Amino acid sequence: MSLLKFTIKRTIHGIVVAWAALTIIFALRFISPVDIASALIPPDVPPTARESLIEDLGLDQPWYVQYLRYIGGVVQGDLGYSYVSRISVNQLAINRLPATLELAVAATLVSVVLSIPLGVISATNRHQVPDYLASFFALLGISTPNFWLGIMLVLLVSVMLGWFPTSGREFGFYEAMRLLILDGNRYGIIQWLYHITLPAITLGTYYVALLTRLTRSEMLDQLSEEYVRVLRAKGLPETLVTFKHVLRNSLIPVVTVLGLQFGSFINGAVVVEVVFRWPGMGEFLIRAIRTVDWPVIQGTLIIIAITWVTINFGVDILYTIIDPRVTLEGESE
Amino acid sequence: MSSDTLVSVEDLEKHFDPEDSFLDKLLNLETPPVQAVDGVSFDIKRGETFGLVGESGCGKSTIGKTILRLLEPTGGATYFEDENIYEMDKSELNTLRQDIQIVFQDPFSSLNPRLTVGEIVREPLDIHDIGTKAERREKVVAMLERVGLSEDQIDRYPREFSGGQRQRICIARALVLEPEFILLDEPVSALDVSVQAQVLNLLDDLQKEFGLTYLFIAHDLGVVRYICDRVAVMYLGRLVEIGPTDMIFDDPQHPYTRALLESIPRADLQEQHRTIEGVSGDVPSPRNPPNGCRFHTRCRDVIQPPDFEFEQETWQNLVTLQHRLETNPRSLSEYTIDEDTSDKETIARHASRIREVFGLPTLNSDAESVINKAAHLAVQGNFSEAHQTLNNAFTTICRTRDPSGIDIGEDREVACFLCYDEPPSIPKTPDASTENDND
Amino acid sequence: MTHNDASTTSVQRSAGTDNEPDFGPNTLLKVRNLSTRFFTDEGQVNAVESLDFEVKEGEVFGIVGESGSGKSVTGLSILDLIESPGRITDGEIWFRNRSLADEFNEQQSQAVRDEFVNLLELPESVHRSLRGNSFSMIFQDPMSSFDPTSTVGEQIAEAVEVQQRTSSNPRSARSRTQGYGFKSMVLGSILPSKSFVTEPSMERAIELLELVGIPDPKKRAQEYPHQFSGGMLQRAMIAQALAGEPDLLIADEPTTALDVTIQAQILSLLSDIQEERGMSVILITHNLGVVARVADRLGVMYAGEIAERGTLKEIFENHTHPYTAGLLGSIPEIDEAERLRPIPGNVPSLLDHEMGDRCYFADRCPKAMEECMEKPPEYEINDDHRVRCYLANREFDEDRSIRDHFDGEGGEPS
Repeated sequence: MSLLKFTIKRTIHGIVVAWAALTIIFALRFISPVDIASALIPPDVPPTARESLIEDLGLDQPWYVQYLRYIGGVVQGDLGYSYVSRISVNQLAINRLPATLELAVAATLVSVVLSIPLGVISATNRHQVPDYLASFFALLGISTPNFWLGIMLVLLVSVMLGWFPTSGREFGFYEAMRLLILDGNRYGIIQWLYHITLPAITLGTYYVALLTRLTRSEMLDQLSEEYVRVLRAKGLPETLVTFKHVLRNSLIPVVTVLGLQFGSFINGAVVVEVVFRWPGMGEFLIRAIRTVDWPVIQGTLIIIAITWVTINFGVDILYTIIDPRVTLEGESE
Repeated sequence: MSSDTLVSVEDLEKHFDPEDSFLDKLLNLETPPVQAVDGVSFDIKRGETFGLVGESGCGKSTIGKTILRLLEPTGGATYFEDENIYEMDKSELNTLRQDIQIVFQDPFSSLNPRLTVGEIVREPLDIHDIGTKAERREKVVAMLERVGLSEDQIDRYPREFSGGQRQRICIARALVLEPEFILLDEPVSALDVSVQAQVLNLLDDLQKEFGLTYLFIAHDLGVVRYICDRVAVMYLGRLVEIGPTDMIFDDPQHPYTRALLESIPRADLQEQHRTIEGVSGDVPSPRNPPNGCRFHTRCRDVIQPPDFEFEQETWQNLVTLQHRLETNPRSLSEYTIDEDTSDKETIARHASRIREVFGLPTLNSDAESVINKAAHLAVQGNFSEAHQTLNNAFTTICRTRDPSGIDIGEDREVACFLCYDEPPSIPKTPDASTENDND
Repeated sequence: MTHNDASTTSVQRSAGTDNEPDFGPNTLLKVRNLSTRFFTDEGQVNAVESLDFEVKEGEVFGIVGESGSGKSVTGLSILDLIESPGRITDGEIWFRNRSLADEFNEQQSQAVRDEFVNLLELPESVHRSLRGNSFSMIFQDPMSSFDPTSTVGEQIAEAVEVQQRTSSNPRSARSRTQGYGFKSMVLGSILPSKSFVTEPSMERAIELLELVGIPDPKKRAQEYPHQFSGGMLQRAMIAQALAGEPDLLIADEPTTALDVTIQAQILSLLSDIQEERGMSVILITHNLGVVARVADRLGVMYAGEIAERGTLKEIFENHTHPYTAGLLGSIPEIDEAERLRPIPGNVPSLLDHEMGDRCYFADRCPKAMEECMEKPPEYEINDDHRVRCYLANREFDEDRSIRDHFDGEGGEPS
């Protein structure tokens, strides 16, 4: 199957998934016990103004008209306007999405850079001190809630030691890079790194633990495969066996988990963003939920769903590169 | 159907369709089905052991599973005591499942590790609700003792037994419902030789004692010769030969059967001096099996076209080249030259290389110019025309017609044109559909 | 995996082998008193026990046995491929290698006799550096013997490369990375590159593929293992094993996973290559037909010991051990169909505490006698034939039979 056909097929799949997500999100609004009008409009507003406000927001229409209007808007790339600030959701999302993506990528990097070496050390020193240490560390990571870890890091590293700022995001990655490349000014990128370090570590730690365990068990599985014995029998040095063959095969499931995880980084970001006042989608979403700002809630969730679908598509493509047995047909020859 | 026939398989067909979704069809991404079993017929007589042999991937296990209706066929019928099992309803099937039982290859994975041996053997009785509790236990003990285990082992778990003993447990489980028919799917191939012989003898004794009918699926021909009364040999989803065991082994008629028997190493001092006339190459893909006789691409005795006289080896190589051009021309791309090369010498050099690789020497006959032309076309990347050129000039019946089983007497059938008294004529258009030639 | 546990084990020389090894003029490998044990949770498993055998130059030595007889462990022990919890606990493996003998003659003279070195007394890294160029091994299941994510050509070229590095600088072969940079290795695990394989090694790999009869070797070299059939992959594995031009090829059940027609192709390929190169081969199999086809001499293994060994003719026609007879009687032959005479009972347990100090076959032996409760020594029947059974020098005596003693321990139902 050509890449083009595969892309077409997956795009159609993606659209179906996004539509389903959209419908569910839309339906939630009608299931929700909170009456939007009464939540939005203060009780002291006179009834005529109240009527016109409701009409203005389109809340007087039957559900299917609202639904069709909404779908129509999304298809045209219009996510509507915030009930609260009356600013377009598109605009708000464009401002917020990069921050969340940056955090997710940074957290992924943190977890990969820490977990894969730990997993390798664990597996190659099975049932020895380094393995036990790595297991202990992993257990600790898994059982630490990340809001707590975030607060602890802020207390210890920021407040007591003063190494990193407690919260905020001064520069976006894009602006920082532009500053660096165009003006040769490193201030932006240093500030960016300075601010993202703690949130990234907080978000990444939970998955460090998970990925370390996964890498370890995959490595052990691979090490007991027959081909490893064959590699040794032909005289290959142990390091080459480990890194070139065993690790590479072990990474295949790790990539799957990483892909799924990237999506949950966006979810996990909700908590971490609140703790660190990181101006991303998560913080945005929480605020919108608090004010029953439906267009914003819907818009944010849809963007998250689409990001998820896109990432999974990317992982599938990545698969065909790292595992030759996987073809785009979805079955081996 | 004669009264001594217990199981009759008619034109059984099982194609595994790939799971193409609607989108795949829309985007024209369909993959051809795997023709695992393609029109197989045979009868199993009451009380006999009928062997089904062939190499891995030939479809023998698929037949077994389809006969028991563990898989639904895509065509054909199987009659058990004159009833088509594919038309049975639930309750009839339930009764049928008491009469037919199965023993699988791997005794390690076919026993539930959490049940004791007693529970495993009793389970079929529980399911079909036969007898009281005491009767069931009595029956289980009797059956375990019959297969060579003792009563005090009844509360042990499968892991405490060796491979041979586990296979005995599987046999006891199959026998406890007193079936008429047992499907033995490679029952001894996971066992060591010394243990294998014990199990084979046990099966033999049980058959006599209980009047059982066996369908014995195996790839080990020695085992088949030992235990089977009649044998069917399979190749790529079809039967090539069927008949009484001794005759098939002593006087094989189909070239594939001969090659199979030749290939087995004998535990004999003369073995190193025996020249083996085996088979070259690999089994073609069942997704895209050869036309006509499915074995013709590897057959030593493939029939020559009437107007030519090749060395048999050259002819065989030519058939191989034709098959490659048809099914997998891309694999020949190593020998092609750039499209814009018009240098005759280069073309000729590559053409002779391709002939050398495929073992096609220069010939002193009309065939020479055809082969040369085809080689030139192939070198220039024009595979379909090269294929057409060869096809138009050389047609073998083995490729254009489907040999149906021919009765050669003494209860034997062979699907090979060499065994026909008068070979059917070659149809004028080569590559005509061969699907319905059986009728 | 670092094999730390294995490397700290010093192999003791057994007290019973004070006598000097004697080497014939064409001995290539002499294994003496080899014991390999596995220390499992259930107890000590004596997979190979006090094993002696010899492989001559240019011969095919067959090792025949059932599962659990220790035949594969024997092969793995020679290459030092035994993994934890297993360990070679005793014995000597003498191998003819003049350059090693010269190198170690002074530092470790006890490990050197003439042209021979005792591999188990040399440093482990030296023993391992012989993998691929002195010994190589092919395994039962070609499908699981290749790394599924590298091309077949690349894997063979890798073997070529390692051997070239070894021959150009034998000492580097004993270091941990063998001159491969650590950084490039880390990169190699992420990038599907061919950074470890040079152009000439790839060309050599293609030549090797052609040598073992793979059509379109150039194209096939770029394919992945799953694109090969089992037979083709077994050919590729043979090609890979030949990359270092080894003196000894250990073939562990090389045809068991293959269909008979393919088995015949592979066996004739193996014996052609063996004859062409004058290589020695240890052929490990459970199939007596396979041994009959290619072996010159053979050893029949039972419960970690060689029960009987000799030339093919001696074993097939003149066998003394009841186990050999039983094995031959158990094979259903395709040329005639007489009732099989199976060996009663089950394959023995190799757990140390269950083995006892008698002839290990006694409980299944139809000719077990009183003396069999003590372990039989190895008797020499003639120059070409040795057997570990009392029947070598006495007849079976019904009065002293202890068959009844073992009844009830399982056996064939009557």
